[in-house]
Amino acid sequence: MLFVKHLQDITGKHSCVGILLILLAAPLLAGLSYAQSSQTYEKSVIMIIAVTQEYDFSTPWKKGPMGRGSGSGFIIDGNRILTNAHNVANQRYIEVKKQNLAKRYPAQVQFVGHDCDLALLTVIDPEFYKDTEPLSFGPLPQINSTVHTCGFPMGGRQISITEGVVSRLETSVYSHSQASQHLVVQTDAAINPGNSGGPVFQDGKVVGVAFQGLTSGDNIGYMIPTTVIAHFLKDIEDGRYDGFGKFGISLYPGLHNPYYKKHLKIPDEEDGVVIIDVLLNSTSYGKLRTGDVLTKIDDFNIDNDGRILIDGLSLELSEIMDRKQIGQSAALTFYRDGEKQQQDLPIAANNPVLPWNRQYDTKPDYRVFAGLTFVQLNRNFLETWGNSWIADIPFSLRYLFIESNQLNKNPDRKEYVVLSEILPDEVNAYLRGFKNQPIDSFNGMTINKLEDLDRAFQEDENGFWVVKFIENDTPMVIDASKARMNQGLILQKYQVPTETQENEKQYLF
Amino acid sequence: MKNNICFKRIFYVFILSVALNCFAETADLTEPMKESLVYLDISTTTYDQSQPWKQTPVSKDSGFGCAVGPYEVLTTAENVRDISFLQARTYGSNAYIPATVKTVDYELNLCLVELDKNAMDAPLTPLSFSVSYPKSKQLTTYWLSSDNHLTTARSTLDRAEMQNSDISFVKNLTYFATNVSRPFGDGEVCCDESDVIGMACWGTDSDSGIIPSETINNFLSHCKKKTYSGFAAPGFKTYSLLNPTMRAYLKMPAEIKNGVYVSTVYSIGTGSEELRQGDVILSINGWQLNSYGRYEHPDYKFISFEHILSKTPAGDKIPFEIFRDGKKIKIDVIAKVIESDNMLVPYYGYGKQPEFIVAGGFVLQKLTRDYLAMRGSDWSRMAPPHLYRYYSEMSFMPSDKRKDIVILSYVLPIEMNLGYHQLSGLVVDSINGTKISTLVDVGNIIKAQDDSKNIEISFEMDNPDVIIPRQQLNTANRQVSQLYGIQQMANINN
Repeated sequence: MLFVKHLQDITGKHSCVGILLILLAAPLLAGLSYAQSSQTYEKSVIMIIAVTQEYDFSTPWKKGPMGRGSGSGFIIDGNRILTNAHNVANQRYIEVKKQNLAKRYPAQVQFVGHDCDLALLTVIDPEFYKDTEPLSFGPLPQINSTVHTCGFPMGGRQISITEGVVSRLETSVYSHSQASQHLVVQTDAAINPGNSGGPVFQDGKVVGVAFQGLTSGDNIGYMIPTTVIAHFLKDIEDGRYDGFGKFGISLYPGLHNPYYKKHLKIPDEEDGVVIIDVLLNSTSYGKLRTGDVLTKIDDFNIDNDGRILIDGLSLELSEIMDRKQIGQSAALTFYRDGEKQQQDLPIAANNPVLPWNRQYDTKPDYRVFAGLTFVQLNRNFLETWGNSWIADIPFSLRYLFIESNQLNKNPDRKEYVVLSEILPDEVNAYLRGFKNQPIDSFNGMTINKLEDLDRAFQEDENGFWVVKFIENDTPMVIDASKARMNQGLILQKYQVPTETQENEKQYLF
Repeated sequence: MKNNICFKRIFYVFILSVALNCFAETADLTEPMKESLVYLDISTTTYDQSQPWKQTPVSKDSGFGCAVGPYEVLTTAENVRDISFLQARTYGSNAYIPATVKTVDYELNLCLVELDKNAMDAPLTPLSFSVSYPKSKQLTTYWLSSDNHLTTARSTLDRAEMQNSDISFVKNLTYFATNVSRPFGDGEVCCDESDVIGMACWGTDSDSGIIPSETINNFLSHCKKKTYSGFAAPGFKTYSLLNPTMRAYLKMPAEIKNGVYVSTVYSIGTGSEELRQGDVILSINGWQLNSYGRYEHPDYKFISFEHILSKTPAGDKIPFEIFRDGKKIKIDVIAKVIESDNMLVPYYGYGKQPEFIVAGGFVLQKLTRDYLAMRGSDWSRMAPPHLYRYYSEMSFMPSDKRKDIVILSYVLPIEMNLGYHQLSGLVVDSINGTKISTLVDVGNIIKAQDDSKNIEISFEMDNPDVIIPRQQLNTANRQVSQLYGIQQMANINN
């Protein structure tokens, strides 16, 4: 089990399956600093201070408490500042500060990629960029080569530089989203809270952005490599961040077994990985099948572990997708019924029916009728149960969260909708028992997305609203005319804004 | 301040005198009980759920019982589950008397034990159980301790409720004793004055549960029958019908204010064939049910309808009055027991070896509650959701198509099953294209002498197929047996 902490000073409440995120309070204390040299590139490393505030995902018209944190960033070409997304996620106000200068400059987020934990900021005041030099990027660093981490970590106010070596390069979970996996570089250079977003140098070039560390290990820090940064910077060239794409397939390294290999009619000399599921509505749906064996992606041979050899490293085949943009294709070679086939498959954004990625900077959508509050079932909502949410949430929600890809057989489903809160009123006095259950249908109409409720509320079944929940035969019955009559009063009593909700959510994988 | 202390002292003296009065008035049955109580020395062993071919080490336990015949002793079923050897001791004797379990009902949590006549100097004096509910009264509990001392404890009878015992899925009438002077809960005899009102079945430092005489007498008279067929267990689940809107939706006339909603009907148990989801049960056996499904018992006041069922022997007709499709109708429901073995995911398998097959290192097992529960006290939150759902939602829903859930528990690594070593906790869907209903099916397909080259196992959810070459199977099984020290490669009950 990985214990990963964000290297940003911030206060907040977060946690997840398997990965414990520890966000530490900002100790902006005065102290001694031992920054040794003042090379020009250090002038381009800056401190970022952000005030953040999240929505409450079970009653989304409310916002949670404010938090304040600090991290690092650095200037790149075009007067832009690159930093971690988690430094500025859910930001309400950001200011940046240069080394040895007291002045703070307000900054704005230009682009943010929560799936790759990168963000670009800009400062309007041109004075800020005076005496700085945009930093440029280097290649993937070699294992056992020396790197320098630069930033504003805890323990002082001045810039801090630490030296270490590159220990490994591999695919790992980015703890900011809690679900997305990309290449990371592990180093033993001391990386501490506040280092987040700071550059990691080798030969005067940036080879990574420091972003997370292991709480349980000694000196295990991680940086985002330049391959991921390059994807991010290329992605936003069209003025929009689309994120990393997927094929939507589950793979199993089954060809280690000679009998399974023979059963799947794979020639002895071929290596590859078995497809054991194709996700509904994914880019592979209808093109690839369970039981197909992938042997090659573009020009890279896939081994029996499902890995490819790229840049001298053995990496997951998702590395190919990570290096391409959504919309680009990859050539897949695969065996089906003993026949070798080829297919160009476009890489597509993944819109799962139950988002595993933690969402930021989105205003959660909701519907309130008869005091019954309906929201999208997603990780943020489930995390409202607290630190051990995965064990504490009701079983039906846990089952859906873990197995939604398998359980959803409905191609029209966009999301699961859950009854998140009941604002007490006469009309819902006996409905407490249905709280936190996912909806199946409303007056016989299947609810595939939150918006479907708008139409459902317009109609009734002989004066009743009849709501059915998933895996529950007992319907929830509401007096429709009384509900309509009390609607205004309920919204007023509980201060629920009445304007139509604009759905601004965006899933990034 | 001083005055205050004085007052307190007076108050304490007052309380003490009241308490002493109470003790003085209570009948002491210590002497007569000497001829009726026994101490049970219990040896138990069970099976390792993750290695079902292996027994766990024998553990020693103690329990208590009382005579219900000259050589017959009553104790709780919980005391004798997973029993490997049982012996008893009577008052004033050092000799152990061999004992055997005669009848056990895990649902009622009661067991009838027979002592070896020849090993006894004198017969025991049977106790008779009187049906009473002395609410708020002080109870005295008697038992014969392991050091042959006739021991007592005091407690107050607080309330009666329908409660699950720790060992079964069926709810039974349980008396709750509070303020216990010392813990008891393993078959001790509870008395109100000189009346024996029940047998203790669980205990904490402060509370104890008592199986009332009513249940005990039903059990004992049922034991006298040729075959013990047990008592009714509900084959349906109810949901309280408080919501007036819901009542209107069900087209119930305003004058009907009672009745409980049937939310789920199982495929086994009482009512499984007669009731439908969406029915409203208005009365059972003439007793009107309120919206929570409780009826007003003359002694216990509002108590769950399950009480009526728990007293009805299997096979009896129970008249139900229900509201269905806008009409009040009367139906007869046949009382049925639910046997754990017939459940889709058996609730318990006391004394039984778990069913499994090891084939080519693949450990295939029948999914049971005990299997899930080996994850420790937090198992319901920690168990894999797909397996847990079969237990929580489907346990009482076996069908002809599916009588067992067969799982690949894990893989014992050998060369032949290379590439599959990490698989665990998968639900078997089909083998060689045949849908699996029972573990017996699995055994038959594996043993089959047909011309299929491989045994191909498919699983539910997104999982790879497992391929076992038939030709290699015997060699592989020998290898697994030797390597992992498994003497028994299968246990299948037909």
